Amino acid sequence: MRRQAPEPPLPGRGLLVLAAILVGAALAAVLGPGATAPAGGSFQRAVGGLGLGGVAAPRWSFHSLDPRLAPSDETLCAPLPGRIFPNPDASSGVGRFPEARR
Amino acid sequence: MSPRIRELALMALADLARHTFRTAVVGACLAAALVPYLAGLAMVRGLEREARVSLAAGADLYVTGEAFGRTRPLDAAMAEAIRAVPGVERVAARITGRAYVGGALALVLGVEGPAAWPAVPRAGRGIEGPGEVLVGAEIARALSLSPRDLLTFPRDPAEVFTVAGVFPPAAGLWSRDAVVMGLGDAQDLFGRPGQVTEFLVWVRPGFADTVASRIRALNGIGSVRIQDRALVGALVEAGYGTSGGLFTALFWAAFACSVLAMWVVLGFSAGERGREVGLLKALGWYTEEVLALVALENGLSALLAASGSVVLAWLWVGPGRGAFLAPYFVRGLPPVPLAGLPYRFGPALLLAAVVLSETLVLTAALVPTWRLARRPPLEAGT
Amino acid sequence: MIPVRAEGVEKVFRSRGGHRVTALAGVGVEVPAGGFLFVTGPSGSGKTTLLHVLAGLLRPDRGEVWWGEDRITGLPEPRVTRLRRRLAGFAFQRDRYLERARVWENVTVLLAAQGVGRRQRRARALEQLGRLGLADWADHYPWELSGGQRQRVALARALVHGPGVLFADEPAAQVDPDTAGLVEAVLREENARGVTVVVASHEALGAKPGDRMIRLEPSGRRGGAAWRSSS
Repeated sequence: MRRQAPEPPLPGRGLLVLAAILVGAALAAVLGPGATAPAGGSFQRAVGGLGLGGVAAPRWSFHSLDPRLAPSDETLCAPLPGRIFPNPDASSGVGRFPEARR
Repeated sequence: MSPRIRELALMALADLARHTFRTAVVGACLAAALVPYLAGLAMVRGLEREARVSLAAGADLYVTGEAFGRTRPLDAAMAEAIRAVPGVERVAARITGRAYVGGALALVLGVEGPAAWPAVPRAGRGIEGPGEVLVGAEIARALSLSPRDLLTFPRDPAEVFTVAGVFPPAAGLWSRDAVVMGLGDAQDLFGRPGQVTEFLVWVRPGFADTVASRIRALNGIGSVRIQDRALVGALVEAGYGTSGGLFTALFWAAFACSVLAMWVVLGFSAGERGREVGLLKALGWYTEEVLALVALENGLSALLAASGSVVLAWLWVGPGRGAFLAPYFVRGLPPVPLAGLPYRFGPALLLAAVVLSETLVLTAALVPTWRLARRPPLEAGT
Repeated sequence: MIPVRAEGVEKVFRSRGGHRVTALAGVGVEVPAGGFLFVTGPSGSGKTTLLHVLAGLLRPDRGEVWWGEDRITGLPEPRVTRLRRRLAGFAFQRDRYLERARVWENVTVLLAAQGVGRRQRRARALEQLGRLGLADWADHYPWELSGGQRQRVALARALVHGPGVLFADEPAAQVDPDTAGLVEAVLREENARGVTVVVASHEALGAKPGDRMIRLEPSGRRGGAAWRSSS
């Protein structure tokens, strides 16, 4: 009787291993302890709340990022409805901040 | 899992492995679009989180002076009058200004002290008396400062400060260019004795509006503008929504280019795919089996690309410090920052990556396959 | 055991240049269940087209094809596929393979869709390849095989799921006489088990008493109706 040749390995086993590793790594990236960087909470508490992100150096337009520091932004350039404008230097920008009811 | 699905899945896996070039190019096209998107969104979400932390850590009301519609300093002595307003729990005076130090523009913070700074990570110690400052990581790097070094400002070279401590980059984005000192030192530095830029007011719950009105009516305080926590929170929401939206719009423009590239690649393999579909149909495969095979093959390909993209994005904004991307979001950062930006990944980002990839790849693969699979086998294969 | 019958089959191809090529013009054949039919004729006479039409792989422009009680020319494509999967095996003359899959995987590609496990599929592929003298080539790729070997692979693939009717297009066109004898023996074995066999080839070599034969002429001119061998 003819001896049956050994079965060759399943093609794509390496790909399956790669997929498992990648999915595992992706899950670790989004759920693990490294999924979120420190947000500087203790510094903020110590100085009483300062800055709303989006700028690291107090250069052009930095005040516009925190209405608690300055009530208006004098660099207003392209207002959109709602007075929010795409500040090219920052991740957020507001033309003129509303204030507490008089 | 049914044996049919299992065998189809194994066959799809083998197909992917055999078409390494096609798999690699499709994966690369997807990753080229997804990685910057995921990295950017993670940064936007990280910045937003830091903004919310700042909001939560801050006061209920911020009082600044106003003249001609612009800000002006306030008399520090008004703190006592504000403290006496019913509903006020605590008042702190603060100076926020900017000044050059050794050629670098620094955020100068004068806070009431001596503050203990117990919980803030730093090298060295906290401010314990006049003439002492804490400096941020970027300022320390620019001026090669360490604890116990001396520091002067060009605007008043005679006043010499001692560096008590240095904040590490992890202390927060806004700490990096900060020079923190006592309130009196800041008043002296700016030549404004007895003045502050704002009062921070903590109030009892539900008293914010009442207290704000009372503060405006105080004798001697003059015209003021008052921000409260809810207003600032709403602005944070709107600002980051705009930022995320703009970034998303830019992303879709780039994504469209990537889609075209990928469809061209898939088009190159359409002839081979057509022959395969025709053969499978001729041998007796049902249309739904052909579609299932193609769906499994491309679904796995998209999953690989999405997972890989999430990992690469994490490596970029984490260990890679968001090099060349962070300056897009944060003004003042060098192309390769000293430390990474705040970022925030989460299941939603992974889900977005998977859904985007799957939608794109399955659409690109299933539509032509479905059209081929509906035709008589020999027409599909020729 | 499936009888196959066709009546008045016409098929015209249109080239991209707008030319009409009549491949079949009013062809009729009948093979009883468990019968053996040779479709012969010179190159270009429409043998392959007739086989494709009989197997439900091509729809004729006119005429009807019956598999037993099922008029497959009147059925929607999914029903035809379902019948073909259950009842028919087709050995293509032209190269039609999954080029990146091994020979044994090509042989069992239909079984994969039916959910047959990999080990069992391989055993069944080796069995069919062994009958056709190709067991040692099971783990090679189709492009590593000669033309004759590839045709035998196509035959093994057509037989692996145990069809009731077998269509073989030039199964021994590019092989030496010994191998041609092996292929013919396999076809006869299947026929002896009750499988209806329809073979297209230039000549009806190895025809036996009781076999049926139809000879096609080029340009769609039909040489004869179903013809019973007199020898």
